[in-house]
Amino acid sequence: MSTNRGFTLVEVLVALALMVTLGGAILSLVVCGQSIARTQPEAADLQQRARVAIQAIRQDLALAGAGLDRGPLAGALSQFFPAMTPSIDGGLTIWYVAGRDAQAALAAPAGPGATEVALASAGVCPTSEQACAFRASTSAILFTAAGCHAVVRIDRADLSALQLHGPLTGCAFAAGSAVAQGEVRTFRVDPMAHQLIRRDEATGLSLPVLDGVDSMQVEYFAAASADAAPVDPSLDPLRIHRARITLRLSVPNTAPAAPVLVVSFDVAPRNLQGG
Amino acid sequence: MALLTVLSATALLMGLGVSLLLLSAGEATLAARDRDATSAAYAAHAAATIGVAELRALPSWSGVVAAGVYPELSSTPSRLLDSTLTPLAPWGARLDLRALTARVQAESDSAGSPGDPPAWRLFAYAPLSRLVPRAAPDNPLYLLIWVADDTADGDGDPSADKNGILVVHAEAAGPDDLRSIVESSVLRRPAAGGPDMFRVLSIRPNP
Repeated sequence: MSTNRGFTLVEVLVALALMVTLGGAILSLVVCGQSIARTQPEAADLQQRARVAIQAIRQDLALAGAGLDRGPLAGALSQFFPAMTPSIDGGLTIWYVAGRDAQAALAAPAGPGATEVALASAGVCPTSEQACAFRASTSAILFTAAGCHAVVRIDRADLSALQLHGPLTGCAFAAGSAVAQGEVRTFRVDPMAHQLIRRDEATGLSLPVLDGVDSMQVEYFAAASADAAPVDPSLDPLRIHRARITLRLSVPNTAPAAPVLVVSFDVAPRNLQGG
Repeated sequence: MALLTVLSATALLMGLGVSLLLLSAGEATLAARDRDATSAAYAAHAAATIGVAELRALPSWSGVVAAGVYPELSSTPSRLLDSTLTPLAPWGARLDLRALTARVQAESDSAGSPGDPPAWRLFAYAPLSRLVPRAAPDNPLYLLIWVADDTADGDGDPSADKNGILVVHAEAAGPDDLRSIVESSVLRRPAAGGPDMFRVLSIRPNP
């Protein structure tokens, strides 16, 4: 007698139900896993780009306000003029003297239109070569004790004079005014290109720092305390000690549902803290 | 058929899981490096602050830039000193502080700055845990502070300060050649009828 009797209807139905349940569960796991696998690299990329943005901004802003290391105008630039200010296009502009060597005083007055500035008392240079520490194709900051300030591009450094790329504008700088190799940089976001931009104010050249940055907001604080309220930087710009920068990052060239990351961080440049 | 479905789904999920695991591991490494670099930057600022405070506390700077027992050491060091010049770093490596001083000196010399060439003297050296014991497990950093005479001093002698300006080079060193630097210029001037005037002229991270 044959024992190969087949399955009953109930057995088939139960097996089918089990298969459907198991298949559904596996399918939902696969779909979920695929979705995570798709978005996780984007989320990781956002995190990494946020770190790069914070690092790039912090590194430059940490130098904000660094001034002369010797002479009558030695000390933080914020004694004389605001070294961390909002730019007209919504960014953040910082001023700093870049190093200890290329620092001098003007030997003769230099007014608007001047394309050459004569140097005196550079400190580290021989008296016949006061411009020895300055280099061509770099930027220089000029300022006075009264707060008049400008940034220029150096075309050539002669023995004791600097040839400027363009004429001086704005202030008339008296003999004794400070001149030092330095940088004036603006961080801003280009809303059309969704890029964080660093602009060199001496040349006007913009360097893209990071893609996928939608916006940048900057709040200014006059006190070092973390719970202080933001202030209007135009009211008393010399008292600005700290900036809070909020960046909104997204994944470039993806659907609107792609992840978005908003990061906020404080920068308190040491040179602006007094002392 | 069911077995095949389950096996292929399991293989697919395993593939996805492994790729996510690798991604997470990479992300964790990047985050850890970023955290370490940030910690080192803050520690270097702390070292610079300590160096400046120690200089301020000294009654005179006459011996600070003069050579001590070894030419790499300051003859008037800070109070923040380790017990040896070859200490065991918090991350397990043996540090040679005289060799590290030679490295700072070589970097300074290679910059080719005009003026009096500086001679860097080791002024303070200790693990971060000496200052912040609770920070030690997550921040295995070692702090080093060197001082040198200002290059614009003009006396041609790197072992003597003439113009009252010194340069402080503060470093936080960590595992895997982690290194963060802050340089400061400080000024000291005698004031008539009172304590000396003291000013921090500039602070430059990663000069």
